[in-house]
Amino acid sequence: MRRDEVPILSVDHATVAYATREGMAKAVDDVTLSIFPGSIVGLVGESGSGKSTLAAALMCLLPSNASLLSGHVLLNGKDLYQMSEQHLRRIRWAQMSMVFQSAMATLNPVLTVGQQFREIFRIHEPRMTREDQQRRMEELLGTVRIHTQHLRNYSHELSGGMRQRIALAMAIALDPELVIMDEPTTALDAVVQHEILEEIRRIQQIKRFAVLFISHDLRLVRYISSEILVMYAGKIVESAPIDVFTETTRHHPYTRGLLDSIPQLRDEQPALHSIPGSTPGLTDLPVGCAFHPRCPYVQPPCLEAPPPLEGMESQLVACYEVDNIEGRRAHA
Amino acid sequence: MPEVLVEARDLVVRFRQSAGLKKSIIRPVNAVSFTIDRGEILGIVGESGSGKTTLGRTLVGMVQAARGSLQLEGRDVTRLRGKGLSQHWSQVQMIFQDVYNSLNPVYTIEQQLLFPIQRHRSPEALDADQELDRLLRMTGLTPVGTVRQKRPHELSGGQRQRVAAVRALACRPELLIADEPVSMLDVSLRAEVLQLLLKLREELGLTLVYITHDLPTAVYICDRILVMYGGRIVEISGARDVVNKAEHPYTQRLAASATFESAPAASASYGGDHMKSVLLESHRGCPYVLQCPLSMDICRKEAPVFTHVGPNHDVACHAVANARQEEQAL
Repeated sequence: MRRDEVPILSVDHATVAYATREGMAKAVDDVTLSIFPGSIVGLVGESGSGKSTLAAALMCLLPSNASLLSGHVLLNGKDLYQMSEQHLRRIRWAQMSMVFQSAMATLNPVLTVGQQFREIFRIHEPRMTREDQQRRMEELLGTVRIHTQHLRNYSHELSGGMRQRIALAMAIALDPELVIMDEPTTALDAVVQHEILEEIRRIQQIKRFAVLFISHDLRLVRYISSEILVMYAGKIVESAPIDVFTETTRHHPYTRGLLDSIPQLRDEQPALHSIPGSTPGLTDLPVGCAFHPRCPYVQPPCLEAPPPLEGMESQLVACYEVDNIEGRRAHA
Repeated sequence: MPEVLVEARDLVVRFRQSAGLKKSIIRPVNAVSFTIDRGEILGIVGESGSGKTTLGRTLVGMVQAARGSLQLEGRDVTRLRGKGLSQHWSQVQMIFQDVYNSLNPVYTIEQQLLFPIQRHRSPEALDADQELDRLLRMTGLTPVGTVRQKRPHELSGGQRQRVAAVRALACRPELLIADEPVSMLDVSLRAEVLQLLLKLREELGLTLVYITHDLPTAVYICDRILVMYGGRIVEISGARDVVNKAEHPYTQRLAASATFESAPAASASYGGDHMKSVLLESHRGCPYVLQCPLSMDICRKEAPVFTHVGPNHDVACHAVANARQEEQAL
C-alpha cells in the first residue's frame, strides 16, 4: 500500500454509541481506517453492522442520540470533531459529499433539479454568475449522461436510475476529494445497478476523487473497490486490497460465510451455505469475538476477548483462528 | 412426460390507472402463455414493473385475468369467486417479500399457525398440534416448544420467512408461489430460505414458482426460468441457459449485469421511464423496442411470437426469429 501518501480521510480508533433505554449501544467500535486519494474503498456489512452509522460519523451528521465516544476523524489532517459548525458546513459537500441509498429522499420534491443545483452553488460559491452556474450544471449532467432538459424536472418525474445519476452529479458538483456512497445502487434493478456502477467507475477515473462505497452486497463491493473492509457488529473484521482479497482463501470466518452464500452464475454451483444465527443486537453483544456464536471454528480464546485486527503485509484479519481455518475446512 | 400442473394461455391482466386527470389502462401481464410441470421450480425473473408479481398474484387468484385462460390440473381457474376461490387457495398458496408485515405481531407463532392447520385439516390427519410440530420441524424451526411460544419480533428474518412458509403449507398446497422471499433478508440468511424451498420440493413434491429480480438466486434454485419484460415473456429456458445461452437482447443484458461482465451498451443519454410507456394498452410491438440495440421496423409494429431455439428454450424476438429463418434457408 501507499503508506508514503497522505490519506484524505483517516479514522483513528473511533467509537460511536447510541444512548438507548438499555444503555449505550456501540454501533461503531474502535474503527481505524484510511482513505487515500483516488482509491475506492468498499465497506461491506449487513444490517446492524454499523456501516451507515460510520458513514454518518464521517460526515459529522450523527443523530442527536449518538455521539463519538472516543477516537478521531481527520479530513486532510484536521479533526472534524474540533471544528465549528460553520466551518463544517463549508467543508461538507465542497470537500466531502455523500450519495444516499434513496435518491428520492435526497432530492427535494418541491424543487426542480436545476434549482437544487443552483442552491448548492449559491451556498458554496456565492460569486458564481448565473451563466457559470448554467454551464457547470450542463457539464455535470453531461458527465452522468443525463439530457439537460431534465434540469426542469421534479424528482418524481424521473426514473430511479436517473435520480441516482443526478444525486451523483450533485455529489461531485463542487469537485470534492471524497464521496461517501451509502448503498447507492441497492434500490435499483440489476441492469440499472450495473450501469450506475460503471458510471461511478468511469467518472471516478476522470475526476480522481476517492470513494467510500458502502454496501451489504459483497458482489458489488468486490467488483468496484480497490480495497475492501468487512464490518461485523461495529468492528472491522477484515481489510485487504482487492487483489489480495480475491486471490487468498485466508479470510475471516464471517467473510468466508458471506462468500459461501453468493451464488455463482457461469460456473458450476456448489451448495450455498448461510451463516447460522443472525446479527447480534448492539446492546447485548457477546463477550469476546462478537461473531463467535455463529462461527463454526470457535475456540476457547474467542469467548474471552475480542481478537485484534492484525496481519502481515496488506491483509488484516480480526480472528484468532484465521490460520487454522483452511486446514479445518479441508479436514471437514 | 412430466405432468402439467398449470397451463396459462394468453393471459392478459388490465389495470386502470390515473395520474391527475390522465386516465389510462395498462397491461402488467400481456398475452402470457406458459406451463408449469408438477414438481418443478419455475423462476419468474424481471425488473420492477415487468409484471412478475402481478403474474404471481394471478396464479393465486388474487388478481383476475381480463382475457386468456388459466388451468390447474386441467380445471379452469381463470375467474374464480367465493367458494371456488377458497378451494383454489387450498391448492395454491403464496409467501411474500415482506417478512416483517406478513405475520401478525401480537400473536405467538403457535396462535397464528394453528388456525390455518385446523381449518384445512384433512379427516385422516393427526391432530393439529402434532401437525404443527411436524411442519415446524420440517422447516427447521427448532426447538419446537420454544418457537411455538415466540412472537414474530423475537425471530430472525430467515426464521420469519420459514414461519410464513409453514402457514402456507398448513393447507397442504400443491403449488407455492414465493414472491421475492429472500430479497429483504441479509445476504448471509438468504441461503437458508433457498435451501428450505429446495427441501420442500424434495420432501413434499411441491411445485414452486420463484419470483425475483435477482438472477443468481433464481439460477441457483430453479429448473426453468421465464424472463419477463414490460408485461410479456421474452424468453423461457432451462435455468443455466438463461445465463449461458441467452438469445433475447434483454436477457443477455440482464445476464451481463448479474455477472458484472462487459460494460452494457450505453445509450447516449438516459430518457424517461421506458417501462411506463410499454405497459400502456396502447403500446404496439415488442416491449423492449425502445432500448433494444437490434430493433427493426417490425419491432415497432408487431409483438414477436415465440421462436423455438432449442430444447425447452423459446425466445420472443423478431431478430432471433429472422436469424433462425436464414439459418434454415441455408
